[in-house]
Amino acid sequence: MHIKTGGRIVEFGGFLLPLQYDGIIKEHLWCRSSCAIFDTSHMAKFIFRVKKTSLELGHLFTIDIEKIPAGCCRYCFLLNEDGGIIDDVVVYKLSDSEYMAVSNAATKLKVQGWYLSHLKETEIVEADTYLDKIDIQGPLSADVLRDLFQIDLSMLSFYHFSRFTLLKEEAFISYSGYTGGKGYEIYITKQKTEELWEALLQDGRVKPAGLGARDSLRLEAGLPLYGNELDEETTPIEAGLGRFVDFSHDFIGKDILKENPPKKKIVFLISETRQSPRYSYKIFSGDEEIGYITSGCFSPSIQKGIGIGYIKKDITVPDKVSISAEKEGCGKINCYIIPRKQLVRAAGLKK
Amino acid sequence: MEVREELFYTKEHEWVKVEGNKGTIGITEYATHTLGDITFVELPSIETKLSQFTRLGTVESVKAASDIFSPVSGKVISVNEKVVQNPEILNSSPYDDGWLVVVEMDSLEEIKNLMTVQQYREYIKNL
Repeated sequence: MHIKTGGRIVEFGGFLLPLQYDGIIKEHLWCRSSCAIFDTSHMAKFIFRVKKTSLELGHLFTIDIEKIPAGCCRYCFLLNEDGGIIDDVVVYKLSDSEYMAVSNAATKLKVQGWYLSHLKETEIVEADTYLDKIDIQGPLSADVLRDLFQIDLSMLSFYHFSRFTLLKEEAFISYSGYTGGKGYEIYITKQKTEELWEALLQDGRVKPAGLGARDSLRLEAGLPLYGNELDEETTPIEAGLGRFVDFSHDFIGKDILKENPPKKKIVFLISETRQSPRYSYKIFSGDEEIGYITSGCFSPSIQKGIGIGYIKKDITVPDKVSISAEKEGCGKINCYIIPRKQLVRAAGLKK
Repeated sequence: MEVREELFYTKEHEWVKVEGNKGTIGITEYATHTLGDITFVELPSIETKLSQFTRLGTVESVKAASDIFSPVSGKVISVNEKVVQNPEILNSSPYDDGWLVVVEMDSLEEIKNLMTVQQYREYIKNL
């Protein structure tokens, strides 16, 4: 389907996925100004059927899933006993006794093992076997879905979802995504994915986008990527995502997370030039090495290099740092450390 | 993928055009196509001494930074400031407007270490 659409294919998390179609910059800017679609069917989807009195599922997530209102989804984490992040997850409350957790493709086996070893009373359904996901992102997403499928999304709020009939099949759509802008994620049965993809591309406002643009879009929005900003050596507090942890309920990793002070601090960077910070480059304040970059790219919206990294916890955060690949002959890249909100605003995203 | 008859090539996808003792250096269309949209170019300054197959500069795309290696040894006598200002020229015209530097070559002997167009065409066919 994607090779037919002109995609250049790469391997990611054991899947063959399109890296780009028309070029990362074009796809990125198209998503910011119009509407782009991403095939994200590779993501792991598990449905849980919970026994009424059982708390075991709730213990796995950093938010209290029982408090999720019906028709809503929430971003949160699965933590190990040390408070390190096993994966970041979006949990959908499908009904009082049914939840769906959507997580990363590359960590699927690890996460599945975690569920299986911790859930004794809960039925676990591997929904990937029948359910795909297409993300439609950009300011015109709702207009496109309305015009193509006569569905009204105007009443759907951010991080809410609802069931709709698409191509004579029930699908559910959530107002969510990974680009920092307006957009939706469509969950649909596998038999209908290709038909939906092609129907969307019939609209001139829609263009396909690949993993390359997905990465530059999420970086501009200051959103973390598992394996880069998040891993088992990192806590949600260190990643600056403490607001997705609810200490008023019990969950695995809670005590250590509460007691142990963070060891590092996440920072967002913008380069003085078009040259970009890159994964594994070191961060210097003057001559002192204070941290490292976890993600970086050229920002098509800002037209400068941007990045995310970690610095030591016990220092005052400098305004200006230099980044170095530490290879012979490579110069240093001067960057400003800015609050996440400022990065998001610089990218033209109102948040 | 376009290749040019009159050029010599490296395995890292640089080309050199030899005229007298002057060598004009660039990167191939295979390289620019693989990198995608080029967003930044770093080049050496005039008078810099380059050695064959050592680092000449950097090209960056949205997703990655890659080193460029010099196909020949010599002293840089001219730098293409236009590609530094407008790196996308490398995507649109890798063999003409997208040249990077001109060097005064130390030795024409080094060309023996490079691929001819036929060899390079075979080489990229098998990548």
